[in-house]
Amino acid sequence: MATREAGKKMIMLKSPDGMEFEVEEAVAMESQTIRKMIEDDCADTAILIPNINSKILSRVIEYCNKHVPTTGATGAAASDTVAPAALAEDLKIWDAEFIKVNRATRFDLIQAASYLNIKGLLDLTSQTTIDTISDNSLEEIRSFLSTKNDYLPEEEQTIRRENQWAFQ
Amino acid sequence: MAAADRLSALADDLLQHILSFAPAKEAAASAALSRRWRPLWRRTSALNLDSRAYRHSDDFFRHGEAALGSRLRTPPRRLTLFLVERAYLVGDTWGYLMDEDAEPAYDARIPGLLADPAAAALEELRIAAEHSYPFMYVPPLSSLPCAATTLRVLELHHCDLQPPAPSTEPSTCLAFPCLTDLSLRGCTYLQGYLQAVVDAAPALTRLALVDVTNKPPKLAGSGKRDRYEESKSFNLPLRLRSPTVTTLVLETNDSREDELEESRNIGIQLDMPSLRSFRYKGFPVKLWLAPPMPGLARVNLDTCRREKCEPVAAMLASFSSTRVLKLHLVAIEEIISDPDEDSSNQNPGEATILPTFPNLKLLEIHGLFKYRNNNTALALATLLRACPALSELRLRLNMASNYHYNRKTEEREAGGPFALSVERFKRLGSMCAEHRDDVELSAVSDLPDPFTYSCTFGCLRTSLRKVTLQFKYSKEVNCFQVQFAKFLVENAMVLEEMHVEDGDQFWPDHLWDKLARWRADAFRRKNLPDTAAGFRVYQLANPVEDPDVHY
Repeated sequence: MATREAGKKMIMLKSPDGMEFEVEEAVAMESQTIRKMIEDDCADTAILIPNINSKILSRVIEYCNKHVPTTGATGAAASDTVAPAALAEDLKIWDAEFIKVNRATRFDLIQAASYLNIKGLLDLTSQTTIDTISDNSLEEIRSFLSTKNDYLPEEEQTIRRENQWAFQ
Repeated sequence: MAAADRLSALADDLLQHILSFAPAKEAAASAALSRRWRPLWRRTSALNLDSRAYRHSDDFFRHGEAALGSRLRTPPRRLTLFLVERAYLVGDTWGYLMDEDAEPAYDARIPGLLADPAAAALEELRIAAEHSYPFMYVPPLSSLPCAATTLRVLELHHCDLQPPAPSTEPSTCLAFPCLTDLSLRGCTYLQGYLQAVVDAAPALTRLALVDVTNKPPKLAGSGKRDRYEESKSFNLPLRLRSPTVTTLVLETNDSREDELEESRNIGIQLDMPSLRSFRYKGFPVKLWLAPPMPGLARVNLDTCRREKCEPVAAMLASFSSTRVLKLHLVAIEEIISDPDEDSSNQNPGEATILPTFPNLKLLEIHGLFKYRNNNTALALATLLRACPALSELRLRLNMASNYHYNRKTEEREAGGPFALSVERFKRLGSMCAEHRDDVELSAVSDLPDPFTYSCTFGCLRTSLRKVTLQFKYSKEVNCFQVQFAKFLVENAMVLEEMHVEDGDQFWPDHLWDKLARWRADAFRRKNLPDTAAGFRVYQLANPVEDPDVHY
């Protein structure tokens, strides 16, 4: 039941394409990178988020908005709470919907989550990436990643021998 | 494809992070992708061994051993084991079920994996077993090498916690010197053993017990498994002691009738002097907190009503020091009245006395109320009066669907969504055109008696600054929720914001400017300075969906 609160400090996030997003400080601080900027007093009025376009940034904010713990007026530390199972279950369902995006967007989200250091989002995007590529053959994964097999044939044989169990 | 290019463009540590979610076999196979990928999987922080992907447990163990073997120089910090029954049970369930004398044998290769040198420095261990009663997986808690040194987080799903048979492992002992987080879900434990595990973790701060049941010890002398006795595990009573735990989550989603009856006088007994945050979900039960927990600041109670249960108010009595109180009740009226009032073992008319919550800043209530039931107002009034320092009130009130007034109930239930939308259409119709004045002006009456003594509400005079109201399904404008909103704007002197979400029923036609106007009128009547400038009404930004409420 997160509502915009007048008494709360708002932070302006700017994407390189010139869009501005006003978010609650608590929401922005879901990002450890931004948290550090705020705590180090590097953030005056607006924070420029380089390399993350407005489309991705708005999705990231959407994620943070959903995941910010509702601590309320008391300022009780978020770490005091273990996410209640029911709520966690709701979030899981929400996450599953949230991450139904195309590959390009997912990779953008990975990079954004990594740069902004948002663990939950990074884990979500990572898990989804793994889920989509497992069950594929090595050759398929190579083409998926546009990775060239730069091993010499005998090298590849060695690798496969070393971890024989993984190629059965 | 451009997107694919970008995944390869990610830094190694990011690829490593992604790989840490892969099952061990896939992660290891990634070494063959290219030179760049070769070293990555061995550096991942996590290893995931999942027996679901294997038809034969031999393959699972062989691969598990190989995976751990290749991580000897770069041991993972996290290990996740998913064990299906065929991986942990030697022989098959049916065999054990058919032959009552057979003792189930558990695969010794699992303790073998956990004792692998590469697993000796684990910080996080998660074991999820396939639920298979009565032969649940028994994790070797007293012989985990990592437990004695580095383990911080232990999470067990569908495991059975019990000490090893004394003859088999005489030298082991239970010790978790670094453990801070313990989470048990769907687990059973032999009576007394949960306390032993908690006692063995002197640094434990977070404890989560979700659907964890107590198993009585086997009857001495009877070698045979008594399946009936074994199935008679129970949630309650629960007694637990820990000097260090600060956050406790207790959830029980299934309690049997006889269990509740038996535990009526015992319930839950906690001796946790450091507790700061407590979440309970389950039936209202007797709660003993001894000694008192002065630091307890956050309480979240989610109780489902059930016959012959403890009154909610009696549970609340334990939390008078809290700063945050969140309540999820089936019926708001429970705050003041025992749902079981007419039961024979209660003194009729015995009122449950609500304590004062001198520190309470945030109160959140989510529940149903009965149409035109004076106890709704009385319950909220009683609670507000008990919170002299309240600064934020969040209410999610929905009308119970079985209230008497609703002459359309049967019709709607029979008619389903169509009838509901007809109903909605009629209601909207009544709000426009000729009825508009009724809706906008005279319709909302004052609250019944309990609220008219507003001078006794300390929080309304000095502290209540923010109110969030979310409600759905009220068939008339003059409903309790709107009356309550009106009461608050008229009487809460320092109120700054009110956020309202009414499921698009009367908003914005009705409430948007009405609330501010009521406030201004009331202040003028009382000859108070107009505080309109300092008061705003908002439409609630992120209302919570209520999938579980039947209208």
